[in-house]
Amino acid sequence: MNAFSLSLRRTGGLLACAGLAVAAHRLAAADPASAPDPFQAYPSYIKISGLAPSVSGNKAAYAERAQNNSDGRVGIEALHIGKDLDKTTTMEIDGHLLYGADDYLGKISFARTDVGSLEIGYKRFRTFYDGIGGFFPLNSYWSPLAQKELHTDRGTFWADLKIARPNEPTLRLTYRDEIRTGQKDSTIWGDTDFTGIPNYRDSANNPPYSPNRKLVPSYIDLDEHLKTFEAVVTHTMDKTAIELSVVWTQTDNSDTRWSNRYPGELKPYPALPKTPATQVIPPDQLNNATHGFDQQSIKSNAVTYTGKLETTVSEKFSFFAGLSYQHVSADIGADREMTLDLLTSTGKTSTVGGAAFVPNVGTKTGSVGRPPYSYRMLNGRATENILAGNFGVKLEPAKALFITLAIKGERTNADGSGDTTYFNNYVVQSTGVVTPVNIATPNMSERNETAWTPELNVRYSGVRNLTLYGVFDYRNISGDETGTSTGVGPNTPNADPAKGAIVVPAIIPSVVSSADNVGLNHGHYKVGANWNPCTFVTLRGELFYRDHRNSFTDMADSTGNFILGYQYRGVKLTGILKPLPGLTFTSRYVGQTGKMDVVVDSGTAYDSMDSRSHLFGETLDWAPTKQVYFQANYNIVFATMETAYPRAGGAANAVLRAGDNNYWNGSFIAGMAVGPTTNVELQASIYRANNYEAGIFVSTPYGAEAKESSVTLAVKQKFSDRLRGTAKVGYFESHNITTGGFTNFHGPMGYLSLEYSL
Amino acid sequence: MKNLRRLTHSNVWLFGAVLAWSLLFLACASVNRTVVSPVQIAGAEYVGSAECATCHAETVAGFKHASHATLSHQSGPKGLDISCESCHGAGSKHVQAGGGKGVAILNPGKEPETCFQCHLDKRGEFSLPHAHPVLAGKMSCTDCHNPHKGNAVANTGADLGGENETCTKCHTAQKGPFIFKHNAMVEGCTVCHSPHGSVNQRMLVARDANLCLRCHLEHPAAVGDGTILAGGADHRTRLQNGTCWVAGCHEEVHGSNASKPLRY
Repeated sequence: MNAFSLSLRRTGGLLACAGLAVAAHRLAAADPASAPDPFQAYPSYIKISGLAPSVSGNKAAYAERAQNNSDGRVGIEALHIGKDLDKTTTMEIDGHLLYGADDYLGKISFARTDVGSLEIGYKRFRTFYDGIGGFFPLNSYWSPLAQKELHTDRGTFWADLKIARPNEPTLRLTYRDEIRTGQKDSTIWGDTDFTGIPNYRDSANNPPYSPNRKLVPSYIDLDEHLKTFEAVVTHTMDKTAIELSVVWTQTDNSDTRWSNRYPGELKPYPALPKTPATQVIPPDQLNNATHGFDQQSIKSNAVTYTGKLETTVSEKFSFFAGLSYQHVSADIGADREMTLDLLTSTGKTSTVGGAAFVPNVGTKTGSVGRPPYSYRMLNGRATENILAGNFGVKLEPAKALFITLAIKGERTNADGSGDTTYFNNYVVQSTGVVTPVNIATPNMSERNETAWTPELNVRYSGVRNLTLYGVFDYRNISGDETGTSTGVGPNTPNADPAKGAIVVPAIIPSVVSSADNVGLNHGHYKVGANWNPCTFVTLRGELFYRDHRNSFTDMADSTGNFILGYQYRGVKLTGILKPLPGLTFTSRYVGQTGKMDVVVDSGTAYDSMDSRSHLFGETLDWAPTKQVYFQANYNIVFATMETAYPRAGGAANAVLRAGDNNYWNGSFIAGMAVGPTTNVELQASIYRANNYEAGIFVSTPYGAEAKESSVTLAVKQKFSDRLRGTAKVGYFESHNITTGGFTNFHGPMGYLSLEYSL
Repeated sequence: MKNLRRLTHSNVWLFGAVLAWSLLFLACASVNRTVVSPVQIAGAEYVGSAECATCHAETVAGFKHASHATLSHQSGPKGLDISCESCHGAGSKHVQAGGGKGVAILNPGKEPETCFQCHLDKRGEFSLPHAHPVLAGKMSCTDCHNPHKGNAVANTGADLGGENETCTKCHTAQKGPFIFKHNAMVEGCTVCHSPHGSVNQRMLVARDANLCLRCHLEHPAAVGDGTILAGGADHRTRLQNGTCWVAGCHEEVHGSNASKPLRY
């Protein structure tokens, strides 16, 4: 067998050498004048295509990763028609219509010299989500509730009219109507006890951590609508350019998140006896299922008036100024209804509320941990008024020295209020009697802030082939903010059966209030240089530093103080090397370190975070001959963020780890002309992340770990001067360790397209 | 036997690959025309930014004080200023054709590859499992960045607009106004999200409690007592069950209309 293997290798090697020799000879003898490119863009064209993956495994995960329907797509991939209607008028039509991907575009525009333009269009595209929850490694628990191909559609209709007559003000009127509908997954996951962690009838026997984990998927129904009308007038008078605009936007959103907590669980009634103590309670009897929705609605109107001017005093000096005023008013509504399933003597009850209490048992039977809360808000409102202005100068005090010095001032006044009614139920399990318990509570907030932001931007390119630059801005915000939110908290359980059914409400008001002085200081600084020491070398470097301090100090005393500070510093380096014609190396390094600290009340500062990240990237572009090119890209990232781990120590280290975001990925593309009218293209990609902390099963599993790769081979063929096509085959695979392999997928794909010149 | 089969199998693949490559290269050698990588224009030469200004005067003028103007010293053949053509490709064929949208010119608004020439790290980020769909062609770099005028990251510094507008023009639900806003929004959306792409869901910079603890951890550095203090309370047992924003805890991370602690 080894002889056979050797023979194959030898034959392959000989063939390769022969091929290379003949190719080299033909290349050396080739006419230096190239034939025309058979794949030049057509002035007007239509391209029809179909993409057909054959997905094995989790189709929802494929749809999200590929941003494509797992059943494929077919339709008009691109349409462009450009036409001169007369000597001064042009018309353009663009579009695509991809059935399956639900990706559509239709746009027509007219432009007439010295008159203006008109564009009308509609665009819609779909983004895909996998609807997954978490995976628990101890018993390979994977909740399948929501995982399916979810998607959201963004659609925009727009009309844009521009009237631009010579020496007259230019008027632009734009109307946009945007929608966002569909479903997407949420990272707000529900609880489950199906984790394989035992729970005994006697708590003394329980492990030091509960079986409860929040891994159950949830998703959001999106219903968002935004209308925008914009009118802009621009005019240049002598050396002054003026712009006046008014923008009116109307938002109408009503998004609903659907979630499940403890699906499939129901506590028995009567309750399980506490003996024998060492007997494990079945996980489906540990808690009561809660399911429902949280709908947040807002209807807002915003009007923004803006005026800007820029005057060129001389070639070396100009100044600019702007003023804008925005008024936002919003009507806010909310409806959150979480329904609790509970067994009573008369059977199962399903009551909205969730944090039900049972007087003759004396325990909260809703859920472990935070109660789910149910409430309704019908008359919420919020307003915001923002007055902003800026002024700046643009200077060129010396040749190739450009300076922009500007300052922005901004005043914000905002307030909001709403009355919230919390509802719950008081359930007597011995009788099955359910009594609603409602509590009305008010909420309010007010915020008044003034911000000043000076900015300095300097660029000098007076040294041959070198540009030096620096950008510095510093924002200071001062003001005050007050707020009172009256929520609810669980009441003390009533352990006395004699008190009857409705003596103690299941929930009681819980007030959270604050009145703070606000002081924010945000500094951003960067300096850099771009240098071309010779025609084949480009070097770029930039140092950056961000320093923020946010103070919220209690107006009355120091007990409510919260002061947050952080500093990030780093460097960006880029090198472009072209040692040979047709050969380019592009290298990039981005390194950053960060520190955060927190001060509460009047205490000392706590270091709350340390972070480090290093990114190395490399791209190779190589065209060894004019008939072939290669491009390879590689990125590797080392990034970590530490907060409490490991210094919290003890049991805390079983709950938390550093947040690592390490990964590397690469892509490769090679193109080759293999015939007078034929090109071949090979593409490949790879991705690896290895951050999964399987050992931390005490908490939600940490860290992304995955292995992905794909390869495609395409042949592009010109059939005639007006027709060409592409055929592509490929293979993809994805392994996701964080989800325990439940979202793995793989399979082949095929793609065909025909492009016709119109 | 299994190893033998694997060996044979791998050699067949090797033989096939070498043979295919040789045939392709042979065919390639018989062709006399140029193919170029996606961000080049075959046969085009540099003309200089002054030539671009004859038709695109307003764009060229505004570029003088743009973030990307730091590239404007870049000189091509014959000392030409090629700052426009650094991104749009050599322009001679576009000029010869009398201009025209997309005619022999690169449009970074449709082809992110142009931007990836320098921002190669962003190609890597957009390739990650959780990213804005730029590589899928549903968005483009210019949806968020204006390379021709002002700050490439819009509404920063002394710009008139609000810093988060780049994100909230599409993500309107996160814009508010809220009765109780999360003050992290003052820091900007990118304090929690990596907008080009992330290994984590929702493009989060951390998919776990570290995301929130960065700003809310109140743990003394030297004390290893097993607690995780935040908001004046030990959150260790709560974090045992999940992250900070999971069901029933602090769900409304962008802002709430009913709960100051952003519970719901």
